[in-house]
Amino acid sequence: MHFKGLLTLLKPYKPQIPMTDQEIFKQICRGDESALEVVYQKNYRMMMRLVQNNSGTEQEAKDIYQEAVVVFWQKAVSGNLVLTSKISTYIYSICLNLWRKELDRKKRHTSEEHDRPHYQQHEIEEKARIVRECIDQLGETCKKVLSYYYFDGMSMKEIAERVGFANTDTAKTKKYKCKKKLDEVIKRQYSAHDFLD
Amino acid sequence: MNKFEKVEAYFNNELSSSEKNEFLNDIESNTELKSEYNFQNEIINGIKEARKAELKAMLNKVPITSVSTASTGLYKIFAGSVATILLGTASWYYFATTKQVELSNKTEVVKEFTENNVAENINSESEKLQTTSAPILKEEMIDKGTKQVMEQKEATPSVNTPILPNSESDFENHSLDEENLDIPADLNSASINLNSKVDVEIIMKKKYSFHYQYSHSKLILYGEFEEGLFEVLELNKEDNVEVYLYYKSNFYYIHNNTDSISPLKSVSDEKLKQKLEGLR
Repeated sequence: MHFKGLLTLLKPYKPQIPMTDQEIFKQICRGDESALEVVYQKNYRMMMRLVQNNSGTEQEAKDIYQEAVVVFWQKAVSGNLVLTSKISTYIYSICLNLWRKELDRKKRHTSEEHDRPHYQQHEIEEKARIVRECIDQLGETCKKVLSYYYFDGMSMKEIAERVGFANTDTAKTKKYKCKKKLDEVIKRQYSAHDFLD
Repeated sequence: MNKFEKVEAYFNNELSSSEKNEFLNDIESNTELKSEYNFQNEIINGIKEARKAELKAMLNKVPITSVSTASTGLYKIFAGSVATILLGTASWYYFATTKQVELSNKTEVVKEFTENNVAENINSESEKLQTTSAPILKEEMIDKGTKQVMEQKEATPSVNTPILPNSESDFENHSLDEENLDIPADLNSASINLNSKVDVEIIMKKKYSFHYQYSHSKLILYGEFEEGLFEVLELNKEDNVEVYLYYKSNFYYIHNNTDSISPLKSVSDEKLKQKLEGLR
């Protein structure tokens, strides 16, 4: 028993060959979230440094970086991105643009005006929370179908493949039903005042 | 087609351009339809935001401290084994022959191994990042009681050379304009000497608790440095090379050609600290 354990420990080490950018990108395009985690981890320090070395706080740097990674994900998964550079270069450029916009916004807004986007952001987050709560009530399949369609921008074919539907028509019908059900749940549980004002 | 289906068709891009125009006109005149449109719009935005929040929550769980790969981990285990062997050999030499331990032959073996890796790392990293300059970062891994073990270099990115992919150059209707970005000018003026190597030796003497001696690219540190990793940063300026030691969250000046043993003095200049941190 102990000898067997020792043999297991002494197994020759096979080094993990890191994936190339193209391999990672292909996986992301297929909707593999673990590949996105690899990208996030790999570039974390560089992107944090970009913002922090340019008057940004740690939290701001993290927000900008996460936003950039999400934008990258959305574009890749929806098939709207042809990668002509390294992934890090692409995300770097998004971070740069987002942070530049944020710096511009900070410069432009007076302290009074500063509160307005904050309030608007709070409102958006609150509505997202309501929708999230209601989607959760519909079940995992509806949640996936609606997210893949509206956020990830996947085609019905891709959704059918990922969720395991027989064909695109099934995916289309399911999406229609899920959406309708979501409308009903929200209308039933929240007033127009909660959601539309 | 009921109002739900009409709005649904609009958001699904299923309407022709004439139907779309008709629909938009209807929204203006029909308050009930407008209300349904606003409601659907909010729900779709909510779905998007909810998904975004889900992805961000997933990213928040990604362990950042363990950036090193499995191979790096094994590399460290290997380094530890080598260090242990060297510790035994060094102790034998130390107690049997001289007070000053010279591990030149053994460290050469270790250095040869690490330098090969280092060269590969630097090449692959610089290729990955597509940047024109990259700071060097030497991590000295010291095992307790040994005088010198090994050095490891790792290239990290600089922040001054983003390249926009052509296909996405119009991303969010912005072209890159770094002038607005307030990137520290010092980052551009300093360059890093990738070929230079600083040999580091640790000596423990009662007389010197936190001192150094640096000449001819050899840095001798006096004190108990074994508890943490430290780094030696070399900055190539226009007319000279500046050397700094990073140890336990502080930077220290290393003055060249110091034949005498001097106490380590921490860098207090905030700008310089920021710059060094940036280069790390």
